[in-house]
Amino acid sequence: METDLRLRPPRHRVDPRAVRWWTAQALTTVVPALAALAVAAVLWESLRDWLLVALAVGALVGAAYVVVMPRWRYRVHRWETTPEAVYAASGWLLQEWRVAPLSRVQTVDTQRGPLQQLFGLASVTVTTASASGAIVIEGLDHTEAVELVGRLTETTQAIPGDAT
Amino acid sequence: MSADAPDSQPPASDAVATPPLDDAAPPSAPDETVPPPSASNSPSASGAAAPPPADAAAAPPSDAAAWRQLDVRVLAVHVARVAGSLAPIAFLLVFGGAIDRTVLIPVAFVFGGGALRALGDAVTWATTRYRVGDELVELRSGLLRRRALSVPRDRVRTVNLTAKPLHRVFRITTVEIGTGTHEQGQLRLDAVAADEARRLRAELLRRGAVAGGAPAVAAGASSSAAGSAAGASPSAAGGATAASQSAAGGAAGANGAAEAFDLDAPPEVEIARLRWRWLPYHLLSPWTLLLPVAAFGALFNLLDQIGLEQRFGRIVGNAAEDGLQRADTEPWWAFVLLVLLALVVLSLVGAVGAGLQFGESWWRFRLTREPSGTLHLSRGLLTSRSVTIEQRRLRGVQLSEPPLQRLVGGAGLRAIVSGLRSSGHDRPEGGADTLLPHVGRAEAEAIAAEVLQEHAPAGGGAMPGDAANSFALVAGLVAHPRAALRRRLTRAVAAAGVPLLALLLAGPVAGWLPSWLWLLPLALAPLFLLLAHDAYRALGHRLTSEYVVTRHGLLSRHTTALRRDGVIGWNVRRSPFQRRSGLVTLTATTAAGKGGYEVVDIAAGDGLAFAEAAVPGLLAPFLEGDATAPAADAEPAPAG
Repeated sequence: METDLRLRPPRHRVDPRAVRWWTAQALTTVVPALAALAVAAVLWESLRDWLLVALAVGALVGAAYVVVMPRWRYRVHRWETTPEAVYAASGWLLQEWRVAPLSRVQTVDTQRGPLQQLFGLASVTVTTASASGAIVIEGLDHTEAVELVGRLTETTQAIPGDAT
Repeated sequence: MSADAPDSQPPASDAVATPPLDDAAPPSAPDETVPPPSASNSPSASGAAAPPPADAAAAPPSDAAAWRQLDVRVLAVHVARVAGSLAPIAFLLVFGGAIDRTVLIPVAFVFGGGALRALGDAVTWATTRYRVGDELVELRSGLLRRRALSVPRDRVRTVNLTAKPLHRVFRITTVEIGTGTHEQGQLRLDAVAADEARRLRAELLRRGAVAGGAPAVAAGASSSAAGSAAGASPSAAGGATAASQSAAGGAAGANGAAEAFDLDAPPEVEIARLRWRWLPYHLLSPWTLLLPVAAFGALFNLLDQIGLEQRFGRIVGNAAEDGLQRADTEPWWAFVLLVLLALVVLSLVGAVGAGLQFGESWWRFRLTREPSGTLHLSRGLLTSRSVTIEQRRLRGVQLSEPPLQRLVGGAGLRAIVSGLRSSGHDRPEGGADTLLPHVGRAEAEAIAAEVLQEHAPAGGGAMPGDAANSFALVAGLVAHPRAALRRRLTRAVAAAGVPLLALLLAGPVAGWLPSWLWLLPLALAPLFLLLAHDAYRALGHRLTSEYVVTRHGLLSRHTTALRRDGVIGWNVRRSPFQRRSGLVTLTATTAAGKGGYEVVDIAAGDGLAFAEAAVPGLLAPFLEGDATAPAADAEPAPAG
């Protein structure tokens, strides 16, 4: 019983600046790790050869991560709202698609970390009554995010019921 | 409850006033009649000020709206607890140990900490006030940081009563109210008189059933409206049964209220009670061996604290030394015998301990359905527990089969309830959502059907032992594709192969590794492959007219039946490996229990069809491709 159903990608891409934001995020994890390895290589003479090998491998993997991950994410991360539901895709290696009906939405809000503020971005979180059902749309333009929250709040308020 | 819009609507008032009209009205209309959200948040009397007319007739006795205080006897419990922390001193005085600094300092810390806590508890007792009005349950507490909580009564999902041994002595009970939105422990009354606790339980849930009729209808209607025309019939049927059920509950509740809380008047239907033949299943748990080990550990700890550990340690040390000296002369099998003997003793001690623990946890266990539309579970010898679950908050059940239970065909059962967090399963006594101790699987399934009210309607009141019910949890599960088996076999090979490779590579480098070590992963490989195959056989899913059923698990198997109208969203996850094998992992999200239940490694197309068939219309706008073959179970699904 093979069926040929597929999830189509959600309609909207996130803001292109998200690529830069994810790159910055990747750098904040890769650079300190490599720096720690380099410092260790300078300090421990006995282990220097091993640490330099690790540093070289780490630099290669890290560089690939910094270059590939943000672009891959940008291709995957998409979102869409309909009058009935929120639909979003995220991830890069491990990908996830989440759908929640607006009738079950409990809260809609935005978050902006310091890095996101730097790039004028914001994330929108749509929570439902389920502990594992929250939909996070990362890397939206800030004004667009605020608009989206306003729109979703308006729609969900019009729907009666306690969302469980 | 801050910025969330649907949450701040108190549907209680309009629902009670006009049950039949409400679900016919357009969704925006009731908004104008309900009080603003701020009213439900203020601790003032505003919520209870204007009860709807229908409610006034069934109003509880006059003192219901008065602020009530916690029972004063809880202070005695705290005092007793603090006195208990001085027990080591008493022990030493009686048995003549030396009382010196090594004893006094820890005791002082424990005593001081206990006294501070008792002081805090006394402040909590003095400042806590609660009341159960017509629409709101309100709780105020705190001296410096004042806290005021109010919860619409139709938000009350569960009421748990717990009385620990000390509480039992003073005849008081801790009441915990579950709402689904508040953190666990936020709505806890520690403690009220035992009679008051039982009265509260009846009061809270009986009224919940009255107010609940209309929202249940509304939920049924909206879910079928959201559904596509093709799939609307099953969910509409579900809504109809829920409505008639809660209508009956409402009628019973109104009668009960008119009789001024006559607690024991209405008859209950017993679903299950303690059977001592369940005991062997309970003994087959890891706790049987872990408990004695933990007990010895605790004993050592105690001896250490009161300074006797050295003396005891010397005895053990001497014995060990003696044994080592004799190792040269005694034959080797004597030691094997000794180890076996130790294991036997340990299991015997464990079995006795586990038996006692079974008695403590499950003494006088009864699972009943009450006429107010609630399930009531009560159990416990020293600590008495009582859990009350509104039937319409029950979203499903989970059958769990730990590895040892599977060997003997045993299983446990948990309820999936919105407002009751899934927790405490690592403890031997089970959590608040534990419905049964470990029992035979057929019996567990029969009781599950009874709990979900899925038995054949003709045989109403049939005992769980009757095999006549048409609801089967495990039977008829659809197997997952062979690719899922290949994934598991690959993992097994990797689990054995990676350490093997590492050992072979590291062996020459690190000379200190024993040369035979690389045989270990090789020896384990067949076991891993068997487990992989078993894990594949655990995979299964099925759609019935009312439930999403899914099973998975390595070693421990979990079979979950989740009500389709309780599914509030779908997550689809795919790793690169899954992508290559055309598989996905689905998560049905829900407000109840764990929050999400997975269908692991299902074929991508089938999985999407399954999700769409389970909640018609939710996924449809986002699907593309050929949708002719639905994944829904072809066999006639059992009607509720």
